[in-house]
Amino acid sequence: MHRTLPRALFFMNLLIISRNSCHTGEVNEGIGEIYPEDNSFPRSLIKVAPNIKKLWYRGTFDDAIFDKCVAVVGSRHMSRYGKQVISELVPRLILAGYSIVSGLMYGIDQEAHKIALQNNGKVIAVLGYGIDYDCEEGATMLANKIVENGGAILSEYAPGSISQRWMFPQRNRIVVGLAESVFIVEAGEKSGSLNTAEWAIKMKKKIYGVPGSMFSSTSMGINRLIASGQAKLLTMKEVEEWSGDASRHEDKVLQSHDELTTILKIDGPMSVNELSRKTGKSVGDLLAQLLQAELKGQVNEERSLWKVV
Amino acid sequence: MLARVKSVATVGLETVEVVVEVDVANKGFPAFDMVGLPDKAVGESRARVRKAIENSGYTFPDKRITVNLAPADLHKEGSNYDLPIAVGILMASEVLPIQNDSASQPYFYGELGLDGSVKRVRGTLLVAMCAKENSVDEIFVPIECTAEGAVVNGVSVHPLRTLKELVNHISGTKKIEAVKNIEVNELLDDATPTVDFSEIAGQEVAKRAAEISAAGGHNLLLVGPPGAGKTMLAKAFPSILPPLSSEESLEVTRIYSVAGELPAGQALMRRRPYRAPHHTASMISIIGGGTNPMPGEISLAHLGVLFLDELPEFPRSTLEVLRQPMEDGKVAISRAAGRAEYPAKFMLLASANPCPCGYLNHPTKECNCGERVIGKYRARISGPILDRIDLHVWVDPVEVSKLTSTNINNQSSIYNESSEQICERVRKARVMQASRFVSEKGIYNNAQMSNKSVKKYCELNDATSQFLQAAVVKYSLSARAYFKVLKVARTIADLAGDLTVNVSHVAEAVQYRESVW
Repeated sequence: MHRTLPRALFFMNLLIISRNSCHTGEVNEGIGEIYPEDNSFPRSLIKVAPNIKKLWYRGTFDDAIFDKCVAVVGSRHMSRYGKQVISELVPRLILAGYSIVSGLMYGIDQEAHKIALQNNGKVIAVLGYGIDYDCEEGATMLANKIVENGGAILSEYAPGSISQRWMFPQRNRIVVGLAESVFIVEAGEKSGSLNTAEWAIKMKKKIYGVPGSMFSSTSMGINRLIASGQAKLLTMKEVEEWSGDASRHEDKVLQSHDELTTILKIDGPMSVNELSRKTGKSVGDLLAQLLQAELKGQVNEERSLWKVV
Repeated sequence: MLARVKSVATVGLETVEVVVEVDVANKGFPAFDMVGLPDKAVGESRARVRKAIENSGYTFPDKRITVNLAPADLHKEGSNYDLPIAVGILMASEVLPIQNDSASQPYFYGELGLDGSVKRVRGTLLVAMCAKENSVDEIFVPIECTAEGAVVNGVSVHPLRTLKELVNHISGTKKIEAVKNIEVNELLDDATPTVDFSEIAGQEVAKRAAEISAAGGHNLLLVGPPGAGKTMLAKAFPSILPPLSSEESLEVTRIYSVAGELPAGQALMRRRPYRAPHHTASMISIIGGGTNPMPGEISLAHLGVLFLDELPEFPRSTLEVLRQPMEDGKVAISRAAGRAEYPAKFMLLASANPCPCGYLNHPTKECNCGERVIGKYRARISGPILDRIDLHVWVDPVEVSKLTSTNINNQSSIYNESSEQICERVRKARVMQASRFVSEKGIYNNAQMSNKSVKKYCELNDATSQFLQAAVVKYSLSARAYFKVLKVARTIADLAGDLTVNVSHVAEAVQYRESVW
């Protein structure tokens, strides 16, 4: 649509598959193309080096969703801890008006997309393979959902490209390029997420690292990155400040005065078994009370340990 | 000379009276023919019978012998026809007097050794029951099986050690005393469970779930890392089920007698069965089968517990065949030799690790399974099977340091209830259910309620139903999960002796929802 003839000829030679539909700007059903000189090309991507020559996209290519983006990336081996971090972090980012950019890989990436969708957030997924390539069932279904919810799927690889190892690190520069800052949740040593961090350092973007357990191999990389000072330590306090949500948290704890929450507050997270030994109450009563408290948002459960919210 | 001797054939749990006709003819070439659809084991009895008679000191007739097992169109299988055939031959060759009055003839049932000894066979209880049905007063069975038969009142059971003893008895030289009848109730009284709940340290939540499961007949899935104590809990589970009544005990014993699983010398199954087939068990061994259909694990677990350890390791096809028996409480097996129907009213207790390595969500150990690997592992248990499991419980590994700490000793009564105490509550809850479902056909416990009867019997007041609505939204419960919560809540209310289901019952029930799998 918005391109000069010589360039079109160049691409026609390069991409035999898309030759017939080039004039309409549609390669395949639902797939569009966009060039750096187009008006709607995200400004944040123009400066990305190596340069992006062309992007294929699926979904609504709406400028608005590229305005305010953050990247949430992490390990494919998501632990329950990682899952919990996502469920706390992503909704707050969305409340603060950010679009969530990630890589549609299973694990942290997909979880971030999913939680974003659940919270009616805008989602951008950047692929490390051709836009119509059916990488895995879960990813394809999720991609369709993202499109339905007004998000976008991007790829710089021609439709039909099968994923190669080198494509993923290249893709990461687009993820970083789009984002104002990068949140890294769980990253092992020598992981793809650390590659994302390298791009972020190159492009001088802010990196927030979620600290992990010293036992967890999938937190080794990010812990080191935080220690080196290249990533900013992300704690609940930062998350709340970030999303302007700091006050609400305190109120809730102050409101609850009953016995259970007091015990949990003083003695820390506890399993129902322990609670029962401590209080002498029957498990049945405790389970019932805890659920009621959870519905009120006073407590929640993590790894079968109950704690005050 | 022609002699007629009676015995019994078992087909599944059914019995058929068999007449063994033996003809010893003076004319014709010496031979030993057998007709009436004998299988290999019956055919081989020719050799056993010949040697047993000779080695007992009698002469085996050197004449033309024809044996017919009537009804001739029923497949006969097993070694239990040795004894009637031997008796028939001895009668026909005039060693023993022929008894013409067929009505008063006893049943003979047993296998012979070459030395003339009488050996153990399966199905003796059914023979005794068949005798009672057909008003046969006496049965002769191997001594090891007499206890099985002795539980049936009104039939005198004669124990046999050797063929010679039997000959002496019939000819009147030395009588064999019939064994005394065994009172079923006396036996049941001293049945003690193997593992008591008070022996299980910690695991309060899992114990509570087991109690609810036992009270309402809900199937239970325990998920947790290896070594958390899931198997121990399953072993103790039968001890909180109400003890077998005498009718139930006979029902279970019948199945065990047919399967030949009754321990030697034991009269009855006194405890609720606990079956734990390994996950490599074949589909047939689980549901039953064989040329002559035999009960499988699900029937052997009838009125007891079927424990499937490592549920996801079972082949999917094996798990799927459980669906119909779980619904109907019985299984029909059709084979060339006949069709047998075995009861299979069992409670399913299953355990699983949360992921292939087993350490997902473990407090100290790290799990190294990828999301997709876990997804595949979970998919091994199909939705329809999970549907039939009402209670899902996470079992944490036991914290040894916390168990030995002082506060457990302070109030030990609350934590270490014995199976008997729990069983008492279970029994009361079952009484409540029995009176509730008096007019409902095919429903005996809360777990069996259809959605329609759930609406009828689990009516909630406004506050409770609002509360449940909130929970449905918060935990995004499906319609199916909604009904499961109500059924479990009903059982929790029954355990508490409450006629109406209130908020705390529902709240507890929601905790057992399908979130750990």
